Amino acid sequence: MDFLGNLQMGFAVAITPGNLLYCAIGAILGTAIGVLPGLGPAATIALLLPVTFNLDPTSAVIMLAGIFFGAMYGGSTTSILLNIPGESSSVVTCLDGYQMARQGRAGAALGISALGSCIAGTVATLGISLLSPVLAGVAIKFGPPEYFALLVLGLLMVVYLSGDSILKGLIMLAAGMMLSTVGLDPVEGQERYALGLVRLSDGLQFVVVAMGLFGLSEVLLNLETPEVRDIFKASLKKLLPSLEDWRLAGPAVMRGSVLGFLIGVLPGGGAVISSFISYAIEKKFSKSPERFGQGAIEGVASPEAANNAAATSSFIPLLTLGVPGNGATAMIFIALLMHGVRPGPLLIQEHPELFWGVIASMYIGNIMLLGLNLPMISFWVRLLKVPYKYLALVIVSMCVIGAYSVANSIFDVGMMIFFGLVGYLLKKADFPAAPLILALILCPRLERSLQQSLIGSMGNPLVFVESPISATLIGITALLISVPVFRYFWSNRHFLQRKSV
Amino acid sequence: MESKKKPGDIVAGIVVVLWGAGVAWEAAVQLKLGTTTAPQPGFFPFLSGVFLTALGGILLFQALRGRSTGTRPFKFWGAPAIVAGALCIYVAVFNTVGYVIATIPMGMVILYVLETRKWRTLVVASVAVSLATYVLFDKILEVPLHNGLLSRFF
Repeated sequence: MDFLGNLQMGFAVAITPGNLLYCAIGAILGTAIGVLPGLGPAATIALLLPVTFNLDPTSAVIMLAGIFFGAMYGGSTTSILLNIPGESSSVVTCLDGYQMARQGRAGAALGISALGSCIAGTVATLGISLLSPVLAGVAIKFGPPEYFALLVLGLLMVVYLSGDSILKGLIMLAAGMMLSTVGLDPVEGQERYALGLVRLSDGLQFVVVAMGLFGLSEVLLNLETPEVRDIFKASLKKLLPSLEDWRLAGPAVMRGSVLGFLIGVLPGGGAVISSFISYAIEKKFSKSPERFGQGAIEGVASPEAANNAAATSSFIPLLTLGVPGNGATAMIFIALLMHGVRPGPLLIQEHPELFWGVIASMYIGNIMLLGLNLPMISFWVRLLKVPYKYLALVIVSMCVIGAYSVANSIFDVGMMIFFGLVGYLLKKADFPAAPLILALILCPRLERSLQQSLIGSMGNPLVFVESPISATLIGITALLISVPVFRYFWSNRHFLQRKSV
Repeated sequence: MESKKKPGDIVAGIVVVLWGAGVAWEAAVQLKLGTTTAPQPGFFPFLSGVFLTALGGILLFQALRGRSTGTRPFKFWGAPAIVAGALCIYVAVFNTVGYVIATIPMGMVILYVLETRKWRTLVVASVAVSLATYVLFDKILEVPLHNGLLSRFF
């Protein structure tokens, strides 16, 4: 079937009343959690996984994807009006968005943010529609060595792009690697690290670990500091940007869209990093960089477009390669597995209605989010008046329900609480949680690919560089590893020279 | 980067080294490693254990030299500790009393540590959230929850 035919089939799936409703629920919930600081899209998707148990997989992914995109839209509201980013991807929006609000231009800032996000989301969805079938076609030829090389590179990139400390990210990756081996060995059936507990012989439940690390730990951390929310009383009139605003912001939106799309495709290169890079590029190439930080509309338009485009394009590695690149897509990966659908190159062939239905819902969701965000902005601002204590209570209750519902077992609730405490300590020690979750999800396949490659090649390690694809992937991985090592030795060369003398 | 020893990173480094060493030891001794031509159940865990030990060692070395990124201060851990304790009790009583009853006191503890001092607010909000989440998930979304002592009523 051709591209337009596939898209038509997707729209036929997405515009059923049920799927439109789930898309709207996802968009509303996503915007709400984007507006409210303290709960990210990954945590929300983790909390809502049990809700999707009784849905068909297409509706479930449509709703969960809506949450992810909605959070990108909603995150800018608090950045512009409160100078508090609702999401980490909207941190950079504070710089010029809040200044615009102080100058009485909050409406224009919110307007360009929503319109820019809609344009970027649509551009990126078009990119997914065109690129995904091509990429899946290439990935279908992957054997165990190629998959091993791809997974190693993907996991490393998540570490390199998702946190401040590469070392701490690598430690979390190794921890996830180890935790993925808990349970029965896939080949011999021998029990590993199950501590004699029957419930652990099936391995650690992804949902339970994710709810603890993303949901409960966030609440525990927020309990430490009293809540302070000072809502800036800004004029919310004139939400549509003027022609002059468009002249300045239009090209910035397009640049942000393209850049965000390209960065989002990389594992780990999600919405946060794309917003920072797009802001830096706008400032660098602006004819008047001194306006940045003082209320430049391009400083709002470009990062908001970039984070939305990146969130959308991060679905490409998930749907075509089966490699989630960030916490939110990892949760959607889990949701698909729980519904018996394996994300990867065969997804488009085996479940075309799911793939194209989700793509079509992205086009629809972007229009829905524009409608939700611009006319209802006063409602979203009022949502900020809900005290955090009630939100915390609801989040903890949902974590408990989510963990319990995996196997109707209090053991899983205990595990969720354990990982919540671990997540709290990790946050205090500045260890990123995303590499651990992604390693926990991807390492069973990494282990299988490694074993199959070694057995198939009679233990020859050169199997990983024999095919051009895996050789290229291994080469990039080697480069990624060697650059920081080289940088370390270069920056310490004087110290090392003195030592050797 | 500040050139000051970070106790949090020193502790984290020691924990990671010990954990990694334990994992590698169990993989090598209890599970079988096998060979590269025929890897056994301990092969991959051994690699992860070695990886953990090496990285933990680097973190420890950097922290001792004052070159690590550091940790956030542990000054305000009282409220998280109280809620963690309440959650442990929650797990202990859940199977006996069920979701609705167990969630009410747990909710009261969370609201109390978040500076709610009015008894009426504590009770009403906790009961409301407990019942509302029960009705939403168990009755509407058909996600079964444990009824415990209230099984004859629901």
